[in-house]
Amino acid sequence: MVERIQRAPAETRYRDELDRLATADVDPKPEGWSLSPRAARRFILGDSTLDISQKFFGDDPLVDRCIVSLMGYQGLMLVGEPGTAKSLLSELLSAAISNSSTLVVQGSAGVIEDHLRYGWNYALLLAEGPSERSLIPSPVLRAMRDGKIVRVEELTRCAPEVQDALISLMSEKTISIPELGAGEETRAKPGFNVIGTANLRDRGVHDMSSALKRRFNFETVLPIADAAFEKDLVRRQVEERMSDHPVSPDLGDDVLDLVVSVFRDLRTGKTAEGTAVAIPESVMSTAEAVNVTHAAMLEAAYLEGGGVTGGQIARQLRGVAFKDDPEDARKLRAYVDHIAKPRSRGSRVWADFHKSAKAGQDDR
Amino acid sequence: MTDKAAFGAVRNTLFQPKRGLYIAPIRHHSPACAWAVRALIQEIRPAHVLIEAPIDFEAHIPLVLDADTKPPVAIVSLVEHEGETRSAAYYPFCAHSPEFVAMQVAENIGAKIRFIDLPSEQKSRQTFNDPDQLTSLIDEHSFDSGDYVNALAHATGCRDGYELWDHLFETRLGSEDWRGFLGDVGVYCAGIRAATLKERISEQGDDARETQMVACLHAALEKGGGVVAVVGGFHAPALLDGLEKAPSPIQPKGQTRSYLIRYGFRALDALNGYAAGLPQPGYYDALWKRANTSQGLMPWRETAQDMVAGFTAHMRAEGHAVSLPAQVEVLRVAEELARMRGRPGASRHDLIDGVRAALVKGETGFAEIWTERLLKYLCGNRLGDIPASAGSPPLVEDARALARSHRIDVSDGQQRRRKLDIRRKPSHLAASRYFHMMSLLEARFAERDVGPDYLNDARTELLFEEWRYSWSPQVESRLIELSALGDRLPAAALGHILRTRTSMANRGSANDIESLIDLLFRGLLAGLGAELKGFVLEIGGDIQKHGSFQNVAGALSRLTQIKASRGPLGIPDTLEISTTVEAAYARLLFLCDTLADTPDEEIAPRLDAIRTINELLRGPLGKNLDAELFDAAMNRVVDMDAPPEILGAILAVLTISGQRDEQDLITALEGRFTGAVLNENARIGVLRGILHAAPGILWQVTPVLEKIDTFLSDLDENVFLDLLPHLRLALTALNPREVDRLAEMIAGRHRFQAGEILTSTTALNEADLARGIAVERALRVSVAADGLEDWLLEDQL
Repeated sequence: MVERIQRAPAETRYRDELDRLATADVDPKPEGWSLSPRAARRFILGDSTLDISQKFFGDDPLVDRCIVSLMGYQGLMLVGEPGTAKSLLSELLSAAISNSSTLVVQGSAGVIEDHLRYGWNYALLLAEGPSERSLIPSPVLRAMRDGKIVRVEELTRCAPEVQDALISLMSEKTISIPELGAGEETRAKPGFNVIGTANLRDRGVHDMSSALKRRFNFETVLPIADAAFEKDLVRRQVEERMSDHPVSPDLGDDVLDLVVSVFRDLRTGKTAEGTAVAIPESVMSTAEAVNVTHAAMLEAAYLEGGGVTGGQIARQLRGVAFKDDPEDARKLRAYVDHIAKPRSRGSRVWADFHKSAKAGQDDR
Repeated sequence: MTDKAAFGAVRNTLFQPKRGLYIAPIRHHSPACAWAVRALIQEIRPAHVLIEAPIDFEAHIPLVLDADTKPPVAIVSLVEHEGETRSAAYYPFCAHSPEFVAMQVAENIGAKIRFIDLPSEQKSRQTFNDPDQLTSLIDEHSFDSGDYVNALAHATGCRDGYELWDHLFETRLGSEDWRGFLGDVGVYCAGIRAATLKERISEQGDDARETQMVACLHAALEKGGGVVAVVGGFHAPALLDGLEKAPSPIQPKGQTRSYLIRYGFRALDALNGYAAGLPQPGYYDALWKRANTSQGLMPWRETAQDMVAGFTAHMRAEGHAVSLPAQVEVLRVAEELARMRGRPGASRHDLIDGVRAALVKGETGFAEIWTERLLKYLCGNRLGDIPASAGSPPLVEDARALARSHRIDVSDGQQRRRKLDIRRKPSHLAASRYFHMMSLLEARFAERDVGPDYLNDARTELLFEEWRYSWSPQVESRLIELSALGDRLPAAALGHILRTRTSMANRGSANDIESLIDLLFRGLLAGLGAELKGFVLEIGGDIQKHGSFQNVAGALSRLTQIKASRGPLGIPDTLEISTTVEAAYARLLFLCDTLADTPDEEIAPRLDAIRTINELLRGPLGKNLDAELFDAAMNRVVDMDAPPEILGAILAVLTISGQRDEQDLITALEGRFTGAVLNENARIGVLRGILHAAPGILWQVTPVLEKIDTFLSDLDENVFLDLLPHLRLALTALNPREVDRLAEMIAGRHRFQAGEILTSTTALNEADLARGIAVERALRVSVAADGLEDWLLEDQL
């Protein structure tokens, strides 16, 4: 019996789709790719004839550009606000191109150069000396050897000297291993490339050197522009998350409308009617909207019973999206007083939202 | 909703060889359509070629086809709107316009060319709404939006209708198979039409236009010999339906003034913004040229290479160099994208994506600078030319001739700069006047970057003016709009001034004397000089009817300034301005009596006005005005019950001029200082008036200052603090030099130097020193207790 896990990699989750695409793939494939560029595009953007679901939304030309960038010598760098599905896109791209999305370096302040090159099993190293057996290849080295895509997540969280190590790796496409003997090196097979994701604006990130920038083609993943579409997406993602739970409370269309318009208003700094809204520091991405709705659904399912209400959304919004920032709390209060209050006159959902948000503020 | 068979029927009925009828559905400014239409006409060799263009433009056909005509050009018609020439509507042609190409081929094979759309007057009336908006006589229905286009774009993986059009049609540029190509365009347009509501089609006046086109088609068919009709694809299905019905009469041509004018790619792009034609004409022009030089075997790769190279060279020239590897990457991405998207070579959107992928380094928003630069480059900036015989309106000719006589280059659309030494070189002054005249006419020809600004009285000491200018189709069309005012530029400028005054009067703002005098200034700067005589008299008349003291005072001050002015603003001897100045002065004296009833909100401007006039009358500019009359009028106001500020100002003025005894002013001051008033602010009303209008009195007439000083010194501390903010506000009326002088005098009265107040220090006594030493000792003990003596830097103390 297969052990249950929280989240399988994309190539496992979408095994059927990848197989169907590979079978039907007649277009030319770049060397080392498991699907042709067109099939990779269909995998990400969907294809009704092969029953392939759409997995990334809102910007088709961006996906085209990403695929084409990965066919060249340049790496691909996905940037943009948090929660815009950069990591999802990089996972899908590597699953489609390399049939494997598990070669990942998860960037953080603790990453050292060894994580990009290779390390050693020290017990074996002491016992046997440097050998292929005692060598622990990094995901980058493994990707080079196998001709696959390696993902470097949150690259700007790595220290500048670690980022620098990537520069020569990307231009030489070689890792030399002098410990195994003079001239011992791994040259990347066709199909190797790097997808980086980075956040350029967050606090606590390092700047990227221009030498490193030159080695990447940059793509900015933007929040979804179309409200109706965003709503649809939130509903689908929440339903997917709730599918494992025995109860699924009713999620009304009006509640979903509320979630999407609250997030859009606060993200863009203005309401659909054009009233100005102060933009909080907190990330108001679609992913956060899904988190808030999901949390509200869990609350409705396990604590309160009944359908999801505007009140639950307001409570979760404070906990999930608005983390502890007094300035943001003021901005949310202004939003509740000036935008939510007038709306509450004509709508029960907004009235619930307003009441609960007010009550929450008074507690503080 | 739509039926595949019905679409197919369109394809089968577009060409009816038995009847001798060939309908070519096109998109305006599409090179691929132009290619197909040319092939069609060359093969069929019809006797008649019908073009969807306003019927009244037929007179321009020989000019459009003249060897000296270099597209882009446009036919512009002047649309009379509410009895006034208000707007121009354009029908543009570029070298790759199917209509233009069809006309060229038709002429070569000796076919008769007819225009078959409704007269421009009727057509532009349907679209006329905003005079500032460009009006296009070319319409494009929903080529880029609508349910049908959106669904098709989604199915083909295109982001929008523009990409879809390029993907489906422009990639076939150079194809010999005109039947297949035009058939596909016909089907595409039939799909768009089927997805458009009938009501919307009628709303836009298409029914009437299509009836006219059908009538023209019938007429041509009757004559026989084969007919090719080049029409917007949207109309093709309606024409095919209409042909089966009985013919209706052709509408008369109507009466509109129209001209063939130079046009530019930039203007065309802007116009397309309204009419939804193909954007970036520079790009499509390059495609068209390539297709022609390679006889139809479109070299897509070389075209993309040239465009990327051209773009990066252009960027380098503008200071945004692109490295060679990046340039290669742009091309690689564009070509790979084209291959993935199933196109023969990189199209416009592939190039845009290539630039976006390869050149952007960092995070961007929806709008992105490199894409914008590329789009601007692809727009191009070519300007067309027309034959000398085209007879542009006399006003345009005059403007160009004058420009040339002032050595101002108007041969192309390039933006240029010109520095003018306006005070020493008469020829430069003349050029400056020309620029000023064009700005007065709002021709969008020239903008002044540097130079004296007489209108706002700023930097009038400058000797040089610097102008930026470029001749553009907009300049020409603006001049064409103005041709109703006169055939010479000065006449049009004068007419424009008079018309502006009339329209101000009609809007009920004839009272805006300041704007009228602005106009006079601009007229003088434009060198209209003596021509402005009538206008000056009219201003005099307007002032005579004016009811506001401060506005008339302002007008008087500015008019005397003009009178005394030399240089660019100087007036010729023949322009008599004195009578107007006198009229303004007379009106001002009359209005003095209204000062007594000054409402609160007008106090400040009126105080300014009193000061201005006082200074004017005592200064050199006022020597021709009788100051005694003003003093007498002021004396009358004193005896009325004027607000304290006005009273203070007037008394100060009169005291300085010796008309009144200082005691009157002191009495007034005292009366307010000690009177029973409701708020503290009212106590210093008279003082405010003095400070505003004639602060000089404080040092010229010492008792006044003494009185004020005594009053303030005697105030209770709390009352003083209440009054302080109001005093500070009142004192802001003084300039820094006056503040200094006042401070010196007050300090003198109290027997210390003004500087002492600012630099005074508190003296320390022995007790303070002893306390300081005690604190230091305690600190040392505490530091020693922590074992930190080494941290004390004894040597440096």
